Amino acid sequence: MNRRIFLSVLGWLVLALVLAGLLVVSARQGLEHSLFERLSNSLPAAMDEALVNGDDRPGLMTVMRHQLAADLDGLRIEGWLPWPVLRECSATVDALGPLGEAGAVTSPVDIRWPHEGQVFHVGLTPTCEVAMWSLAGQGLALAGLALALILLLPRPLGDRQRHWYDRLVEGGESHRQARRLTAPLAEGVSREQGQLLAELCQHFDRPFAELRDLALVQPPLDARQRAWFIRGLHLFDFDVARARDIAHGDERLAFDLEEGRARVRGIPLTLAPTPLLHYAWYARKRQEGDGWFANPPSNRPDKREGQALAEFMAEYGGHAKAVNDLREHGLRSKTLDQNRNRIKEELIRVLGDVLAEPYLVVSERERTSARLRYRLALPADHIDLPPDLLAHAPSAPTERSHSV
Amino acid sequence: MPLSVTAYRVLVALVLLLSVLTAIVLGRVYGAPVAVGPFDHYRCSTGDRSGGEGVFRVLSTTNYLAQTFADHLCASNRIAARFEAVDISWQPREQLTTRQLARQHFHLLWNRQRVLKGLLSNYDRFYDSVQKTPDYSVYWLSNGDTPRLTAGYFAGKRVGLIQDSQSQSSFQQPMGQLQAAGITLSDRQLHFFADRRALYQAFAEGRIDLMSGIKWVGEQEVPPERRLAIAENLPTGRWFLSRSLAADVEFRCALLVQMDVFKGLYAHIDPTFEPAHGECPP
Repeated sequence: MNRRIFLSVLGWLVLALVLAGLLVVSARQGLEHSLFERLSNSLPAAMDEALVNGDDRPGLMTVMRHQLAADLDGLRIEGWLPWPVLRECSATVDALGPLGEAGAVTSPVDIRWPHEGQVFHVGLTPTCEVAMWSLAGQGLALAGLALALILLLPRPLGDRQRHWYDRLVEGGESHRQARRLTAPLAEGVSREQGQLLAELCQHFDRPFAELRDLALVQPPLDARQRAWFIRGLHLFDFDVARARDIAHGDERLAFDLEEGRARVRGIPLTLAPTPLLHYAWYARKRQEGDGWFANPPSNRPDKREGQALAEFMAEYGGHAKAVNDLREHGLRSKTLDQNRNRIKEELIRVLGDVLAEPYLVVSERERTSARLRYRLALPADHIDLPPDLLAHAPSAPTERSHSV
Repeated sequence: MPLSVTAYRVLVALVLLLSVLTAIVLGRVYGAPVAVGPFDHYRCSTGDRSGGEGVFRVLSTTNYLAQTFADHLCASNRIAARFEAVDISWQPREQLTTRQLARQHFHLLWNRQRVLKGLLSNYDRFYDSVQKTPDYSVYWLSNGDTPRLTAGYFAGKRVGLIQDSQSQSSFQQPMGQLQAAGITLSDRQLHFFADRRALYQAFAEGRIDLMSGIKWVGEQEVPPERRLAIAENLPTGRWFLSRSLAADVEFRCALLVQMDVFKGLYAHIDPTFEPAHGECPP
């Protein structure tokens, strides 16, 4: 605020100075023009008359010069306002006589006329004193008026503020309210904060002021972080602190098998024990090797792997039916497909398509056998498994043994 | 209606431009009407030695020696005793009016009797003649050949005259002589000049073939073979002093002494001329 006052006063003084300068220059020019106009008419006639019997030319020139100088000593100044900026004006006679003799210098007021085959020439230089008080007063007043006009102009809206202002007005806000609400958006808003605000408005039906303040308080978030932030706000009933933690965190999949839960960035997933343990099993494979596991062919379930998985599930509270099924029939591709789908459904339900992606189980076709193989997309160092899980694992079968 | 930043800046610029234009327009100052001239006179003040009768006005037919004469008068005690300033004019001759004569606007004037009589038939009630100035002769002056008073000679010649129709030497006499000789000049032949200087200049530069005047052009005398007499022993005129001042003998005599300044002028017309002082002591 102080800065604004200081700048306004400075601007006022600078403008006053410029305008005062213009006033003086313009006044001088006006005076010269006026003198020229008036004397162009009267001077030549008067001098021509004196020349008729002026046989002694040098004598005549001297007399005329004196007379003219006396006539021009003390000019009265009139302007449009009662206080002209110039005063105590007079004009000096630089040259008077036939052109050529009179000297080649051009004066500000230069009157020439033909006389009997010659050109007669009178050159005058008006000089004035500047009426300082009048000048200062007029300069300051004029600059003050200009400044007042400028201050009366409605302050402009920056592009960002304008965008939000228009949206609010479209949405039914009054102009004044819209201006007030968008005022904090005038400056110092990063692109990311603007984006965040747009997304918050898109997803949440809360008062604009609240969303605005929330967006402005955040440090710049990239697109992914913003998505997590908003998701977090959705999931935890607008718990800002929690959403922030989620957004700033890393991709992380954590299994707490005691509790029977998996958590993505701390967000709990709701999975039945069977799909949960399948998920953990894929996770373990990811940590132990490259994670790829090919679906067994439909007509030949994998007995060995089925056995291992059955034990794993039995240990961590898997359903008896599922465990028995594995022990009896071995690991079937159908089972794997079903569980993977349930995992995917839950991930997408909680996180949405985009955010769930790193946590999905992805597939590719084996080069050699054209069979589909699957693994958890997330890299091993982003996965937290209970330490004892790895300790309990039987020696991991290599991929070669699965390509039977 | 809020403004965009660009619109705001444009409006601010317009306000500034408006203020600049206003400053320029306001600054337009008009000097009050300045009266200049007339330039055909010279005035000097007699100083603190107060004269109660105002300005002593002199009318001459030339500015030659006018300032000198006026300065001498201003320095003179006798003049200063009566007048606070001296003003000498060499206005164009046709500006002298009957009314001015009757009012004795000029205290001292140089003119011809016939002119004053023409303007004011009883002029001698108002003015006294105090000094005669030399007679002179008027000649046709030729730039090349010897002038002769024949139509044949004048055919095709460019003749220079002065616009002032009052001029005896440069208008009345020469035109009168041609009229008497039955010689008519076409309009194209007659070249009128605003003043004597211009006429002399044109003659010297050969832009005219003939002019009329006294036998001196500047300092040079025109030789007899290039001149033809028009009239001889014409009066140049007399100095006339207003009657009331002329009655004051001391004043009149003091004035005549000062008027000797014009000897320099008379010498150009007639080198042998001595101005008379009337009954004044030498």
